[in-house]
Amino acid sequence: MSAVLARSRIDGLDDVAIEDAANIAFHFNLMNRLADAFDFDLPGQGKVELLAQMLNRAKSIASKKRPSPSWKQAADGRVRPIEIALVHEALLGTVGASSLDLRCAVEAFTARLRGGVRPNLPVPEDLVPYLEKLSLHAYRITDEEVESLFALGYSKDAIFELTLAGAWGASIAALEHLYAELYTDQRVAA
Amino acid sequence: MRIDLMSGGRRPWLIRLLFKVVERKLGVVPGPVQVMTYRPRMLPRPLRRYLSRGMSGVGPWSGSEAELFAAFISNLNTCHF
Repeated sequence: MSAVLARSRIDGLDDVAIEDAANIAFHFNLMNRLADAFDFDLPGQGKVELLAQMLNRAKSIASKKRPSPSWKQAADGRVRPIEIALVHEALLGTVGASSLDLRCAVEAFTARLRGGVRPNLPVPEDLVPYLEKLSLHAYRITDEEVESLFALGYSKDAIFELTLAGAWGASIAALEHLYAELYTDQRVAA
Repeated sequence: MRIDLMSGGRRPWLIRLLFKVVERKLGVVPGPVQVMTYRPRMLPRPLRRYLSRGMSGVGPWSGSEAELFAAFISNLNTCHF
């Protein structure tokens, strides 16, 4: 990662540009996994343009509130963008249909598969094939695999939460590597 | 959708009303919007703010460049959405 970062800086990119590119990569790594796992519906013929217009309008509203990039070192020692650190805590700390321990284990499992630094927490055997696909090649997830989770006794809300935690872990691993590099560089510079 | 995220969840009434309008116009509420609003306490506002940052076209990357990056990442993930 540091070689990529050094190369990007030599090419003239500042840290804000690097962070924003990483932000987009994280955004789509997360949404792609969720789209593949849940099989998002697409608007019908002729409605895609309307959807694009609506998204552009939403983007122009959001752009007025563009926060400046900043990061936070969490209790676990990892460095994350401040908004991501807040969501990480909410996602893994909010009471829901799945237990907090299981959600943390799922997040750690998928993050480890993508090179993230996490403790090796036990994950139920019946979830492993689904989580491996979610982390490594989500486009291979099938209807039958999601239905088998229902058959195993997981509720709709539990499947939603565990899929979210899994997609999150797999997507955030690369972002954490980048922020660790940026943060270290800033500390050295200071 | 493999999981029905339109029913259940803990969306405020205003979001549910907006969903009805969007569904009437598009025939479907976009999946990312369904996911982001299904459990608002688990995916709170800072995430929506963070995710919209790179795509806003206000920073160092233009909107077109951001779309290009997004397409590149989706292609790497073999995702057609």
